[in-house]
Amino acid sequence: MNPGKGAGARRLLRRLNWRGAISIVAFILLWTLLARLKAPGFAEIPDPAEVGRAFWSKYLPSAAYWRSWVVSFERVGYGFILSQLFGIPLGLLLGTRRVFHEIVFPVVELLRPIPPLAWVPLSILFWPTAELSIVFITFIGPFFIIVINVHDAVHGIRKEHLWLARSLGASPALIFRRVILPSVVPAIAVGMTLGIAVAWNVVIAAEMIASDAGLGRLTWEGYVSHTGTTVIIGMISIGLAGYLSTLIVTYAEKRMMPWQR
Amino acid sequence: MAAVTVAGLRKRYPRPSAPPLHVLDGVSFELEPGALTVLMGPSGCGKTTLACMLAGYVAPDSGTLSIYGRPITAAGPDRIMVFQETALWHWMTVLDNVMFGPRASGSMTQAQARERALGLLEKFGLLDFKDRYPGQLSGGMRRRVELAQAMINNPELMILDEPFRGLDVMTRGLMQEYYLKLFAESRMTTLFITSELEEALVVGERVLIMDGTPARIAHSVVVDLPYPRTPQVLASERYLDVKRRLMAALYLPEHLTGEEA
Amino acid sequence: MSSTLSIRGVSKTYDPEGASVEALRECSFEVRAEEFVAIVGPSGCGKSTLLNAIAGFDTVSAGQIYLDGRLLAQPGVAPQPGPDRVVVFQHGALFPWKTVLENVTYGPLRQKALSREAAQAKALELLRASGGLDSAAASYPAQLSSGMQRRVEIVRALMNDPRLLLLDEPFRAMDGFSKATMHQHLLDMHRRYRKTIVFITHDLDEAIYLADTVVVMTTRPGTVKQIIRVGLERPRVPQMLYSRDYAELKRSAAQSVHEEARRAFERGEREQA
Repeated sequence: MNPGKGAGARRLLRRLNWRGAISIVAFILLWTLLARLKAPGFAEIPDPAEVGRAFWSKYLPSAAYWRSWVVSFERVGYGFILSQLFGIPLGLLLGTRRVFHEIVFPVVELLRPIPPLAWVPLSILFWPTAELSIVFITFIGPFFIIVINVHDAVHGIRKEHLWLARSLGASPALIFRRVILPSVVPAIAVGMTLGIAVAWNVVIAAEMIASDAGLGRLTWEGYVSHTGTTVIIGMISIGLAGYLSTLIVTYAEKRMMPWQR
Repeated sequence: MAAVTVAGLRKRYPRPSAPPLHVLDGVSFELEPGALTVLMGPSGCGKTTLACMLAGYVAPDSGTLSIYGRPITAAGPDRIMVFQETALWHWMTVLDNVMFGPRASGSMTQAQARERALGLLEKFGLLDFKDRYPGQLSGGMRRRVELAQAMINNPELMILDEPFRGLDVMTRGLMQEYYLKLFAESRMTTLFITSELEEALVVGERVLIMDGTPARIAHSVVVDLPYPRTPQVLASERYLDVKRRLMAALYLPEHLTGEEA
Repeated sequence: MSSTLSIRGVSKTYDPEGASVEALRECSFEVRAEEFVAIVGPSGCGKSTLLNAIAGFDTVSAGQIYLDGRLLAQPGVAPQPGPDRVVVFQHGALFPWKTVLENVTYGPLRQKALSREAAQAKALELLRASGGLDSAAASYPAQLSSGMQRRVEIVRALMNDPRLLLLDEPFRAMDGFSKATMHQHLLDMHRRYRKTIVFITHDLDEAIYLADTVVVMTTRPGTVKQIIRVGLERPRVPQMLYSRDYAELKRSAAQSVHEEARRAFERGEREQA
């Protein structure tokens, strides 16, 4: 009996969340049970094994399936990036220029409470193509979030930070570049994290309404055709896609803020 | 000629649904070139407001401030303030923080500024930390970086607003010793604000006492003790006498019997 | 009623994640009844650890603590806090959602030590003795200045009629002026209610001015470096701060204190690097 090995195994066990693993297994077993027994509500819902088989045989090798990933990612990507490109400067202008603020902010406050999905009909009417109308939706959600976050952050800058720069003889441009911008970076990070989540929320619904491609569309079609496996595969895919996007954004945030360790 | 002349400063702040708060009422004093003057007064009496006026961040309602005959109307590198709460830019390294002044005012090239900054950091015992971020340093170290950041600009007036507040008493004592060494070399005209009586006696050549609501300079006590203020000096008869005079000026009898200050 | 306290060879070692940290090493000193003892030392020297052991929030790794001759702590004995040893901390610990009166009567009422009427009467009496704070009985802590809050906390401690009053740097965050007022107040309370007090501070001046005995501790691992008997008369008055005797006492301790401060500071810088 090697005591060293026992201690190592125990340490590993402590580190792995074995309780969490057990609860996941229990979840899958419960699902299997409810589906097989056709519990109320579970009539058309497949069990995990069926889902797994369907995925393996029909979706994994299917080019159309992976295309829907690409399509949804593109829509989120374009909309999100545009929202940051327009939103960050707008937030900065609103925060730093008083007259601009007085003119523009009331309009922002008027439009902001409208949920992104409520924009869908108008968007469809307005934009010539379905693609543009969807990208507009993934744009508008993160857009207002980032504008407000940046605007609030500018107001929240410690006055001593600005005063010190003035005393040391910095020009307004230098102050903007080396004091104001870095001060709002944490707020941009928060805005981005919230924004990407909202973008994924809305793209799925927008696709269900307005498109014939994408992960949302896939899920919707599964519903319409009574194919439970498709619905569930759609959901899992969407969840994974959102998670991957968040990873990308988090990585970007870490690079933006080297002083936070 | 006096280095800094302050005459008849008055300031009041408007309050919503209340009469305006009169903070300063006719504050006047002079600072001699190369002198270390301490300013004391109860919390909230207007010391920081006065400091901000000297630094050029706040304008008085009436009265004048001038430095070597030039009126003080705005912030500038001739008067640098170290604030009560550390105002180092936490997104810049220690070295960048210290180099900021000369680079911003254009008074040195990149190479010159870097060399000077490194020299100062070495003198302050912080060379090993030049590439760290302020968030990674202890309170005492951050204060030293701030002193370096200010002194690299050779200001004509240094304003220190309770710079060692919040540090534990022992670190404070070491910082006081440290600062006095710097002062002996640089002989920069300094206004040192504190609420600690012992600190005033260790550090100052003269103590101005601000009191009243609204405040004015109520007393001036000369601390004629030699530098360095060693433990022997701080146990001498002359020290005890100065302490008595300072306490008498600071604490009117009713402050000492337990009434709320 | 007040207690005697006996600290004998107390040591404390922490073991966070396997890196053992020796906070205290063989601390010993005695405290007489009604005595005011100040413990002075640099940051991290284990003063708070010692106070926690006395208060019953934590165990000791070696040595014993006796209260009135009764064993209070030793290795293996589970910590038991109690109303006989009450702590006042540095940062306000009043419940912000309760009024001053509710805060102060909370302890005795919870333990059913007093009836509501008796608790309120006692509370008002103590508050009045603390500089007319009975007029603030219906206020909330946020409406009071920090000095007033601290006084309320001292009243709250006294309400439990503790045998031992423990204060952990209670005035650290206050400015010089407020601190001076609080010193007089604490001295007044000590004189009136005659409790044994253990007071922790970094500030040698504060320690000498307030205490009968000053225990100077070394930096980590904390042990007793020097014990000074403060022979100044009571009641203490601010005039003593510039007396010969006071200056002498300070001089005799200043070197020890300074040495330890320097050591702690340098270690702190080394740890940062």
